[in-house]
Amino acid sequence: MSPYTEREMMSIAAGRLVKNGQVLFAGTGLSMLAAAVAKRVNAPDSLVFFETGGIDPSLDELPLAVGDPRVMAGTSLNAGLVDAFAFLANPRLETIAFLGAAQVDRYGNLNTTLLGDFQHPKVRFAGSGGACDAASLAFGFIAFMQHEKRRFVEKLDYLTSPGWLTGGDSRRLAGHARGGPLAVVTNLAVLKFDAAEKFMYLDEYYPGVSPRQVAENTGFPLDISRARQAEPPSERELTILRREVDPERLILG
Amino acid sequence: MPAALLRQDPDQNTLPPFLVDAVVPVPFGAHPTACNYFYDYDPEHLHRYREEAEDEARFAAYLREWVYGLPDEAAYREKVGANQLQLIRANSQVGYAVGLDRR
Repeated sequence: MSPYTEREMMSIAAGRLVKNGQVLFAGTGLSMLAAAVAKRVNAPDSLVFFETGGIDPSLDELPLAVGDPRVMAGTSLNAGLVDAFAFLANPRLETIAFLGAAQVDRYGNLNTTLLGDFQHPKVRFAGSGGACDAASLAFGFIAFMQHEKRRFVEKLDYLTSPGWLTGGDSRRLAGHARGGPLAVVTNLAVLKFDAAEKFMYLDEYYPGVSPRQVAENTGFPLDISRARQAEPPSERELTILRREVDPERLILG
Repeated sequence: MPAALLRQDPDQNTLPPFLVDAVVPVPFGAHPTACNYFYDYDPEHLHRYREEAEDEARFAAYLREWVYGLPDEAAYREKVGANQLQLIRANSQVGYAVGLDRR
């Protein structure tokens, strides 16, 4: 087994969550790598599209932003923003969105808006972008997070994008016909959500990480009773990621 | 371009007339960002922009150098340099500059 980096493990762990045939709504960065790896390993019939409207680009070169011309190259269709979100909401498709956030809570709700008090924030971030729409409309979403106590919080400073809201069937009762967070992929672990009560639990911790270490870096009580160790990246996964997906290490670093 | 030409194949249009005041051709007008099928983004310039935008004083200096300090677009293009613009020219098949060093 060759050594691998945190970013490689995260991309591969997220890619493994994709089921063949699902339609992937990717941003850039790790989500791009996860989608590209999934397509080559476990989801050959899946395709990737972007909020700027590029549907199924050839990805001969990695796009570095959703406005990158590489998002529009070799596509089946270059639609627009409004179309992209309509496709995302299409009930015939199992669309999976990849999102990142500054904070997440135990129900997978996300904050990408600010830290501190709303009127006098300590830090102001870019805001929702398309994240709230994606979290609301997609069949499901997967969040990427750095695993730190200050990011896994009891209460968000601001609710930007809805996860399972307050758990149970609160999301449905709030009017969301479908969707919700399927998993949170961090630099330590993959976390999933209880089927009935919708709270976050530790599903897989990466090799070299202990369940306790994951719990200690989480700012709310974390169920680690179902945890098992993740498979390390296989040679095949690593080779595909390094040679085909990001040979210049533009995102892998 | 005469307006009548636009009406010969309206399926190709995306903007209605009441949203357009004028059409102004500006070569490399989106630099340092990209214009699909014309030119790629300029990675070197964007890296520099990102660094200088982190600091108020350096960002003000950037704006003086690249925006307020130049009389027009032609002067801007000249400052970027013909070699650099040639480097980011798009491949007509795929729409971007193939193999452009983006690190």
